[in-house]
Amino acid sequence: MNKKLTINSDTFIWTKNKKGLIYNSQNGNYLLFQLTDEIEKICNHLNDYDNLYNIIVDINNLKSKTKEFVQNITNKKLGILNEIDKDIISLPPLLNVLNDIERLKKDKTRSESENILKYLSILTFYTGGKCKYSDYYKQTFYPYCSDIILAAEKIIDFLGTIESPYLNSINIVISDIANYSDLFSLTDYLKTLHRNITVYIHYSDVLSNINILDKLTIDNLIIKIICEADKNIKNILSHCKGKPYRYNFLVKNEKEYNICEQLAETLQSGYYTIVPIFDNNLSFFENNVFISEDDVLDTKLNKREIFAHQAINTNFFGLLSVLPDSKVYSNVNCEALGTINDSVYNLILKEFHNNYSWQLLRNQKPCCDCLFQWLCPSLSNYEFVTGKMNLCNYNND
Amino acid sequence: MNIMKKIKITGNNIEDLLINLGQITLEVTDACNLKCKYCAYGDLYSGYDVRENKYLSFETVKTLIDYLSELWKSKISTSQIPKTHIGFYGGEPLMNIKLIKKTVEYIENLNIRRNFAFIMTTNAMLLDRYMNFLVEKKFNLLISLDGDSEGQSYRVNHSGRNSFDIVYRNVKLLQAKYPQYFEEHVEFNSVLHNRNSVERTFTFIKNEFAKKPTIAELNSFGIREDKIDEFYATYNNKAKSLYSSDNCDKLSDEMFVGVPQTKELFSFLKYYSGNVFVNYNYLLFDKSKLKYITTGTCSPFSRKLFLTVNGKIIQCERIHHSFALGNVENGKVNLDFEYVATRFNAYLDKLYKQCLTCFRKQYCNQCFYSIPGIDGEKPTCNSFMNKEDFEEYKMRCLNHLNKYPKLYKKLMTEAFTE
Ligand code: SF4
Ligand code: SF4
Ligand code: SF4
Repeated sequence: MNKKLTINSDTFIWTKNKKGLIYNSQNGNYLLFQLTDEIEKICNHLNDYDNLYNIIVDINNLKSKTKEFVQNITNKKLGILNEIDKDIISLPPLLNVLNDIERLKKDKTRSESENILKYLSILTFYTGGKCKYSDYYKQTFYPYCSDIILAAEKIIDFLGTIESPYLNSINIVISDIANYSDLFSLTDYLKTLHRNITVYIHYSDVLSNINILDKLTIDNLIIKIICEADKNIKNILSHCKGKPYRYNFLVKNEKEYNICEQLAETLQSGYYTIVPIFDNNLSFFENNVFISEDDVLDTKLNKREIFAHQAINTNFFGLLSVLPDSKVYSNVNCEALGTINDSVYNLILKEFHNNYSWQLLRNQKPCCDCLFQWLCPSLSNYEFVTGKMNLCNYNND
Repeated sequence: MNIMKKIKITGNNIEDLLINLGQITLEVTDACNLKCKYCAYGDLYSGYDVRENKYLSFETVKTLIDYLSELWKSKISTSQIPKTHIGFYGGEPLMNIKLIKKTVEYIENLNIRRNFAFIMTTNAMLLDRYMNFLVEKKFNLLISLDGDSEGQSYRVNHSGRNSFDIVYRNVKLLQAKYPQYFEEHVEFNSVLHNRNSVERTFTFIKNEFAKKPTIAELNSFGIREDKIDEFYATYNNKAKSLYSSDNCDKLSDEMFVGVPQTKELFSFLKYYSGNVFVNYNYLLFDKSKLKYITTGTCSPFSRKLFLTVNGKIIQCERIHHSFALGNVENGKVNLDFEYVATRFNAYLDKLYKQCLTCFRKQYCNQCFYSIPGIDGEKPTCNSFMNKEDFEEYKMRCLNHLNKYPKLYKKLMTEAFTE
């Protein structure tokens, strides 16, 4: 008996290495299955866009595995079975970005005249200064130690060239607050911009500079304190009680995690974040950071979010960082795009041409062979510092 | 609860739009060496300034360009080197070639960080005389040609003679003399009427000039009451004409988004499939939470600025001249950004109640300037859609897709107009 099987719009069908996944991005329902020859044929037919997610199946003559597959699809509301003469139109997910970067790259005058500034949303400046911290700035907001200092004047000049309503956040990561003499001229300037401003400082700088922090506490400026678990931290937190600071707790093992979690209990939710740090502690990462199949499938992603994973790196897109030597990066783990003296347009264009990070996708091994390729979060700094492209417990075999 | 908030534009928005202005269209003359039966200035239509064989003066153009240059110099634009197209429009623009040459020279010598490109719509009657200049300045030319000799027969000169022979000869000359320019910079537009057909026009231009023309129906807005019968006798529906052709499927495939239903389908997919994104930023947030302007009217100067032969400043050449937003007069540009914004907002306000319950409000493409009686107390938008209308529209689009399923992939991978 012939029936028409129609997969719902907004539902993705992925197949890799004899396995398959049908994922409904409207409600998170999914079906994992083995690809038999017959099922593979059906999937290939459905994934041909010209068929608009329709296939005629001879229900009674399907192999038992295939029959079960079709039943699962209808039971899980991933698709429906209908009479063959019923016209049901379904639109398979297929991304079309009208202002596609590939076309922009090919056309020089277009890339000059197009408003590419709109893609820049977050700028981070590392002021630098004398200190002896680790290089955790490659993973998260963390002071950068250097002899050179990024003068406030340079930051202000650079920001003056960026007239864009799309730039919504500016971060300043300060290494040695007591000796960053231009701090107030910088914050006075930042106050005039209608953007979210966050100043990051290391907890060890807090107690001796509490007056400076008090003066910094202004309307559109958030102070975030980078905390590491040591015996002093409790003391610092109690000093800061009642102040509107936010906290990033950096943790490298379970013990630190427990300490920070305890400390965090005294803070308002939303005022702190726990940030795992990779430092020769792979097993901590494996147990706590790596994602599992369940993690991936439990995170319900809508179609837009999946498309985003297919086109851009959602962690890095729109970000530029400036190190104390004035070099500008789309990601501090990659090569510099240029310096703060270059035009911001050229910096952005260079990122589009070189694709250091903004469009870094999970399209390389092992993720390209994985069913969860587009469900998994975009690559993050952890992949850079661990040198491992998949931070997961998923076995693709 | 309806969360649609009234969104208004401000004087500052208008200034920003002028700073990033992408096109200035100059009506260089209202005179024409042809007297096409269906011309917007012809006797079928009302609503345009009476044609007086006027020529736009260079002084007026210079005043406008100087005014804009000052603005461009004083503010940072959102692109590295902004580009502005200068369009020459008529009447027949080549009848005022003196002004065109002077304007081009003036613009080329502006000391300003901005790229310019020139565009022109022409009937090609004078092309033989001026083609060297147009080629040298890399004009993008849009040639009006309604197909073969019979198709062109409404495009007559002042003594009623069909312009086909001259136009055909001139265009062929251009093609032979400057083949590369012709390939890169020349396009055709054709008006559909009762003496041609989509198939004949498309095939003729494709065979003769290796180009795919844009085919437009007669403009049905602003018809004089006493000319309605005549209008309908001349009018030809594009879809009907296409579907009555022998080669309909092949032709539809070649015309792609030039087919009205395919165009409508693309717009449907663009707005309602959830698969089309204007740019990468839209992938990062939920667009449905954004505020949006009701009606599909473009904000003044977001697409272009139109300067009429009488010095009126209008937001485009397609709308009634009574919607002028300012003017150039006695060496001065009179354009009050606040007034422009207020006036625009007032039209939005008038339609607000109706738009609020309209099912296409989020993705409307109705320009309010073409809503009859928009200047009256309570204008009624004829494009309003209730739930049933919207379902019908949706079904119409999906049925077209059902008929031509291959369009889906093609539209999603090859159609990019915003
Ligand atoms: S292999 Fe890659 S895509 Fe697959 S689960 Fe691991 S990280 Fe995600
Ligand atoms: S017709 Fe209306 S929407 Fe279209 S360009 Fe002109 S003013 Fe804008
Ligand atoms: S179609 Fe008319 S009523 Fe509907 S949103 Fe557009 S302008 Fe308003």
